[in-house]
Amino acid sequence: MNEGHSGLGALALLARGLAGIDVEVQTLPGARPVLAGRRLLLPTSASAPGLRRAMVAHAVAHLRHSQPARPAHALRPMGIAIVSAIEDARVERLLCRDFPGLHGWFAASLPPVPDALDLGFAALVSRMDRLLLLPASQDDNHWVNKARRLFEETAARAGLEDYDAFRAIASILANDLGQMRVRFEPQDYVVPAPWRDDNSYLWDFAETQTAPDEAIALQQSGARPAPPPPDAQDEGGALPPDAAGDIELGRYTYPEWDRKLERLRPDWCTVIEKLPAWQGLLPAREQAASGNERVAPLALPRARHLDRTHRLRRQWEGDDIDLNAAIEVLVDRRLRLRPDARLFMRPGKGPRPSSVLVLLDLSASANDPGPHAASLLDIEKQAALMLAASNARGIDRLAFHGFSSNTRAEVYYYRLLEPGLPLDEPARTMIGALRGRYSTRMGAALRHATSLMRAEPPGQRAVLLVTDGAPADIDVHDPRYLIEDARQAVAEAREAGVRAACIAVDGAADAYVRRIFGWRDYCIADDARSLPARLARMSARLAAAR
Amino acid sequence: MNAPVHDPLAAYRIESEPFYRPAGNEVALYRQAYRHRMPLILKGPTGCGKTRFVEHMAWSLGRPLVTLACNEDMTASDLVGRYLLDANGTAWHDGPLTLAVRHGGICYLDEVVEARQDTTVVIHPLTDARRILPLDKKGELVRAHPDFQLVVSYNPGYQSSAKDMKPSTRQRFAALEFDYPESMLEAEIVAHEAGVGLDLAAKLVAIARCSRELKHRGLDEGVSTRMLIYAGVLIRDGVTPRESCEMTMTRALTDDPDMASALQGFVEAQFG
Repeated sequence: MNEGHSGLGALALLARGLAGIDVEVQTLPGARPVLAGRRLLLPTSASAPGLRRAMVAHAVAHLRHSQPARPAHALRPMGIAIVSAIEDARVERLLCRDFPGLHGWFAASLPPVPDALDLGFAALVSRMDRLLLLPASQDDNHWVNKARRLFEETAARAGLEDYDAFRAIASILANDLGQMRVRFEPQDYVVPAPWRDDNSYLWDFAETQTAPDEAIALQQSGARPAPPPPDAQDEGGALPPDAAGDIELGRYTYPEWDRKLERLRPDWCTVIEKLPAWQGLLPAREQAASGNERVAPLALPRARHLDRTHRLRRQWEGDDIDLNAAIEVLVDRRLRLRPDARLFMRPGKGPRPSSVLVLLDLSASANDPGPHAASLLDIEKQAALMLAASNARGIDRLAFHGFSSNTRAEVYYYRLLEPGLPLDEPARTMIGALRGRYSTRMGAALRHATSLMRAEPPGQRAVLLVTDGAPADIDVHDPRYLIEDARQAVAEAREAGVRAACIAVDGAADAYVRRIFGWRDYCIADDARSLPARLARMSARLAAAR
Repeated sequence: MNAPVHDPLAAYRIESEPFYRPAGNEVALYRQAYRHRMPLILKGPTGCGKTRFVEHMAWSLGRPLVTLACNEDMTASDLVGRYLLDANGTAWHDGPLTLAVRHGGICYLDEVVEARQDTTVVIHPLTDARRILPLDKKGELVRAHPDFQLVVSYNPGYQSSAKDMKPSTRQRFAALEFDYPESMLEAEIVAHEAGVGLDLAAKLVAIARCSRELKHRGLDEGVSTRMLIYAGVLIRDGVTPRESCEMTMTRALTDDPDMASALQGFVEAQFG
């Protein structure tokens, strides 16, 4: 199972590289892949790596060369199936022109040749697919050969980019099938080529009364996790324990940037520091018992710097001559003794304290189960525990804090692990007891984290935010408002000597992380499971930087 | 060469023309900057040709090129020089920067942000109108030779260093930005440098394009032009394309199995 999962990450990267845009790759029960927007759902039944890669390649062909959601109302179901099959062949040709090696992936996944006596719709399409894919193959069916002839002629005459020309030959072919009285049963038809998707990507069935099978598949794909509800307040009340059960530790007020007024609104947000409600030792035990907790501690580089107050004398090489040693050398020479050649001095090196505060987004959306059952919050917790366990030989002062917000009057802030303290049982329990609720008011939380980091010893000080989406809160309706506020908070932190960086577990994060954190201090994890490794690397970088 | 009898920079002269294919008008811009001995920053990702460019310019201007790869342990003394002990007592030895300043070379500090900021401040008096290098330990003020120019390079995209130049240092330089050349040109460069056919070079470049899409998604930097040349050289010597790409790109770039599998996928997408 695990192997399959790690495969998905590799497939997502493969798709990103080939298509040039982010593609989310998940699994879904079904017979054929489904491409919905930029999300590719692979059937759970297809586990052969070669077939899965061919599925990704085909989806990339659509993403690069197909226009999605064309109106389907003018076509009959059989027409849709033929136009789709021709379109599949067209975009695969186009893709193979740029990536010739992909042809082999498709060819390797071809189904066996159907029985020559089978003149059903699926068999004919399957034979046509084979002929269009393998130029050397032969078939004795007139219609299939006509399809090949028309396709090659059109490709030579109009070029592969001309969608309309291919649409025209697809109409001819569908018409021929009608003349041949080939029956088409939308409910029974599955795209014959196993690596091709169900073509719902290509069509917009908005106005069809009788939905063809593609539309059914489209509905089926609605089973994927829904985006977080915009109104997270109701949900917060339903989730045990209620925020009211937490123990309040203190209240702080912070300004907020108003992008329209272009100034800070003083004392606008109230940050409430809390202890998460005590859940007993159960969660920590649970986590300790789960097998994948036993991860080898991560070896992180240690930041070092020259310590000018500390001079190393009598060195083999260095910037300056150590005068005392030099005099001894000259004395030894006069005495015809063998001098000690270590007569240089240089500044010594001492480790410099580096403090990294990992700030976890504990909004309600973190509870959503990901494609692989574990919620982002669970993965965040695991990653935090792993990183904290590696602390002994890594970052000098590592802290874990979390936040969630319920309007500007209540930005909850949890200090889970204080900098420099070991990860003891209470801290583990506290991290384990976290529940995601409410929304993400990044700016206020960043300001509070920055003010806490300013109390840290001088050296490298950084706040690393882990989030699953853009900043949002229920009392803000302008989507850019909180983004601009967070950007302002990051700039303020930088001025205060605290670097702010972000790991976004959100394939669509490009739109805002860069705006908030600048072009360098962010990292996008398309796949939540890569979070522990990303977190470890990013925090090590922040600690090692100057 | 019409070098003087004793040329302290003889070892730094470039004898034959280094191959460089301009991607824009950087050669003309460099020449203009050199006319005024303006200090230059060359920015750009790893392996895109910054060092080769400065070698080419030094060759075409007929100036010696003193290159220094900067690192964190480098101190100001490593640049300007230090006293060493010899039979008669202490003797001053010029550092590479002082050599170039005194005798008129182009001094190239590669990956300058790797050096600590307090080291790089020694170049300040050299990079403004004064053009002097005070050797405070020796008590000497070296006036720069009229031919001397300072060039530094750095790689702004490399996240792990996350270092930056002090604004006061940065402001003294004019900058030229480099990037990987566009596909056709990059293929020509790879074909020339690796001695392979243009078709093969174009395939290698297509692999690199895919890998560069993965920046910020687990890769710090995609496959560089230099890596492509390595791969091309191995293929020319008879190693299979898949093996040479695996050796020079996939394994060299990443340890992450997912990433390696995706990179290998790009290779297969070209070579089957």
